[in-house]
Amino acid sequence: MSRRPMGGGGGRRFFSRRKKPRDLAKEGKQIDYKDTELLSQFITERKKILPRRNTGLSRQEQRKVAIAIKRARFMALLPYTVTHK
Amino acid sequence: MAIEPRKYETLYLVRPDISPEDLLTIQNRVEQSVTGNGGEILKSEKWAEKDLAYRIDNYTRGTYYIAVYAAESKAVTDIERYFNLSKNNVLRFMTVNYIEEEQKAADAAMNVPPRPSEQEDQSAFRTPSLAPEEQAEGGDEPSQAAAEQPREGNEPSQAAAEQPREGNEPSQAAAEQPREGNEPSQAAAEQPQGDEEKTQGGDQS
Repeated sequence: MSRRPMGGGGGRRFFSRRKKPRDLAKEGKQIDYKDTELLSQFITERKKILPRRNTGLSRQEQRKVAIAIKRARFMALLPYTVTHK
Repeated sequence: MAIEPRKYETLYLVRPDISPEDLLTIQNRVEQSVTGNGGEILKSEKWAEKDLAYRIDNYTRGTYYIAVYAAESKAVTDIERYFNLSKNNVLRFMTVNYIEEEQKAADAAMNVPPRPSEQEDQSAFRTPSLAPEEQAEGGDEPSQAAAEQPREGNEPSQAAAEQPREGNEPSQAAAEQPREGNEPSQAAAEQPQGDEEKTQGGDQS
């Protein structure tokens, strides 16, 4: 099932995480902004929201996740960045 | 009055050193806003006390309370106005449409092919004759099959992947699979030497 690996060339590139399709609905998971454990799977070390090419989510789910992350950030459940403390 | 009022969920964050009276005032006020506007409180409770992800008004900790209610939107504006006026105590608040638990379960059930752990349970109720069908389905969804396989190290055929979960029953299925021309599994390797019983033995080892 080898999918194309991320990032090939030199220079700046994302960490080489493969895109493997992921379907949260299939996992029986509801996307909820209070579920920080789930959401933190979709942010980088620096707390940026991961792009769809790295999360492997469907368009709809990526959108839900992104909104949920933003809500969680507002409620101080997730940080916006690592620099504010 | 045919329209059923919407359900809302309000999560609010109060400062950690709030006095119990103030907290009670807030909770009562929320409930009043709902019932006063002809709504109904479904839940009003403490959700969690957490370290904040970032500092708010120099607080690094806070307590989250959650209220779920069915009401007209007027109740929401009312509550939020009140929260805005009590900024000293309520650091953050957010109201979203409430998704009910049953709905969640239904959503999940609709698109879920059973997870590996569940599969175990369900296969117990299945007749062996159904097992090949299931494998055919698996073939339609390569993503799932593909996701499962690498974990097991080698490259087992679908038959091999399914087998350990389903226990002893599908020796039949195992016998059939190799004939269909999939990648040879361990079972297939054993096949020429013996009968079906032997195949089964090979799987378990």
